[in-house]
Amino acid sequence: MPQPDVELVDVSKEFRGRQQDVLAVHDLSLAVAPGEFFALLGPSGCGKTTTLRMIAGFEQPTRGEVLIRGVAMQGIPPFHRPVNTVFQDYALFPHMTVRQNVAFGLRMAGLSREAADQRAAQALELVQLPDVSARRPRQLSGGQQQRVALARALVNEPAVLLLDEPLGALDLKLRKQMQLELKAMQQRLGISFVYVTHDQEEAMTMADRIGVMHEGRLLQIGTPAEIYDEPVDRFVADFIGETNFLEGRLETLSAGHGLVRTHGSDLRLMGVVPKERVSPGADVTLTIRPEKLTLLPKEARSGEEPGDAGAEQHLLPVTVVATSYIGTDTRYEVALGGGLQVTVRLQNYGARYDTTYAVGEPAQLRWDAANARVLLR
Amino acid sequence: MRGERAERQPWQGLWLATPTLFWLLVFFVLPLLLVAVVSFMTRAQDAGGMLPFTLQHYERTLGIFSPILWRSLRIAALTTLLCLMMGYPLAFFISTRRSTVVRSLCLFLVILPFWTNFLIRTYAMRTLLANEGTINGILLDLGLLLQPLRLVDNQFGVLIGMVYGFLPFMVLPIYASVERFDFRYVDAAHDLGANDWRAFWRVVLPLTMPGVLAGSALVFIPSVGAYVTPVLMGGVRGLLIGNLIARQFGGSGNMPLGSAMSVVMMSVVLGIALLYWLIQRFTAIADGR
Repeated sequence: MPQPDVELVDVSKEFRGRQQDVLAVHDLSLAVAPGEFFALLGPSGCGKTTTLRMIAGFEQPTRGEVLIRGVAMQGIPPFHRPVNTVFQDYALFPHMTVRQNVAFGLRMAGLSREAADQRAAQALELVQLPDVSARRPRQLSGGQQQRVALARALVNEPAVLLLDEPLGALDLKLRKQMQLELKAMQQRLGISFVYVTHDQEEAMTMADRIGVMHEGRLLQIGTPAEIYDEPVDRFVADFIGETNFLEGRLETLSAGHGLVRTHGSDLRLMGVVPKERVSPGADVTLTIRPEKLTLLPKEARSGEEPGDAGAEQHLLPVTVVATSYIGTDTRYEVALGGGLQVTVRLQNYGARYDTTYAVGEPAQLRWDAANARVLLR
Repeated sequence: MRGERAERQPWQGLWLATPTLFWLLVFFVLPLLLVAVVSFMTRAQDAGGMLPFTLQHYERTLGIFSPILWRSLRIAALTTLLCLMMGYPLAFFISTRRSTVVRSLCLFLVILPFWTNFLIRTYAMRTLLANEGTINGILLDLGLLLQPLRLVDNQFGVLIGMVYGFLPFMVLPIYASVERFDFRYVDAAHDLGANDWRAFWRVVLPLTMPGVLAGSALVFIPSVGAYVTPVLMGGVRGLLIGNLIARQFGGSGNMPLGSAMSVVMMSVVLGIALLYWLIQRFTAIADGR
């Protein structure tokens, strides 16, 4: 990887509290490549905004190092860092016009008023808002304010653009549209983005890579597909999308596949073990996405349905407990025996839902080991 | 809320204000009109007014007495400036304390002097600052001075007394403004390359200007007509227009002249208040409010 635009090395941040110190960020390391769209994803309070503020320079790390384009940022104030931020709720200066807002950074950098105004006009064109430059922020809609905030940051040509939940205040439709626009703009400009969000769908839609954070720790970094299909942590699997969890004990481990005996019932299920130090005898969690499970009629036998050749497959007798039809697919809650229950999602291909299973009906659950993950608890 | 208010008739509920309106009519508007009329009359033997009407009191006010008027405006302006320069940092300090207990305590200390009579406090100031007062006494005893510093009975004494007396009126409105100020704007300014100094001048000060203007008005307007402080702290050399006016209403005075001085002083203050209102109005329109 060429020199990263942003690099965090073992960064920790403690806030002094009245009762006790709060560890907001714990030994976090990451690197954002030039031109990369990197999303920091996690629930509120996970430390993602604190991480962003340490890159911007508003907070100083308690330990560790922040580098921007290879330069250590220790002791460098925000106004001397080659980054700009799009703030949550935008923080547009209410006493200035849109043009003055966008030109502010350029004026601070010493450009003449004429030069700054000209560049500001170009930036407003870039965000498709050429006609509002004389207005005040409060006269604009939320979506327009969002674009002004973007123009105000981008006009300074930062090495990295930091975005703190920039679409959080917009309604759903506008948010979807802005997601695509932001992504397109980022690719066109080639500026690396660090994007903080709690919305997993937003992160999946836009980011080249996602870092999932929880309680101050960076649990996993990967492409959206890696994060979704190959979670290395129970929290990651749970936070992104919908999934099933089955608790058990790892019995054997060979060629990256582990055999798990579930607690409660004595089912033995196979799953992929991530490159981690899991040894037989460990308490583990098996996870598998509902859409990666399939139901078959109870008389069907393995091999009748096309499956991944060579992959370990189980056919398990189950009973349908509940169904819900949600248009594109149907969700089934099925009982595996021993009190275990999983959710299965079957897509509704046909015009009629003739392959449905009624409540109480026995069926078979097909479990592909390649789709299941064995995670440490 | 606003919609509801707009639907009401303008005079609906006026009776709520009638007691106050009556009071102000009898004890403020009528006396004021009387003063205005008397200011155009000729001085009578008993210092009151009589016909015919004349403009001579205005000529004297704007002529030989104008230095006193200017002195009053200058001291009021200086008082306002000093209160602003000390009050803004103080208000900023108080409103940025994280603990509400500390903030409340500081505000309590700011208004604590109001619990004592203003006259008594001014006498106390005089005791401190007089030639044979506490401060000069200590400095003389320590041998730092050969003769006492003249801290009272001049304009300097008036200034000290007025700044002391009016400072809380500057601090409180600025405190309210800074407390409402969203410090994320400072983050944004820093992010865009402004250092602390520029962030203050370009962002913090403009956005807390309503507090600055309100505080300045609350200090300047009463300062122009101040009476007690100049008498106690200024002596003969520190007399201001308020003292001059008071003197005209005594036994050997000249009520028409005093009235003319009052009208001129009020006009100046009104003019400045109008200017203040225009500035506020202008910035409000510019803000799109």
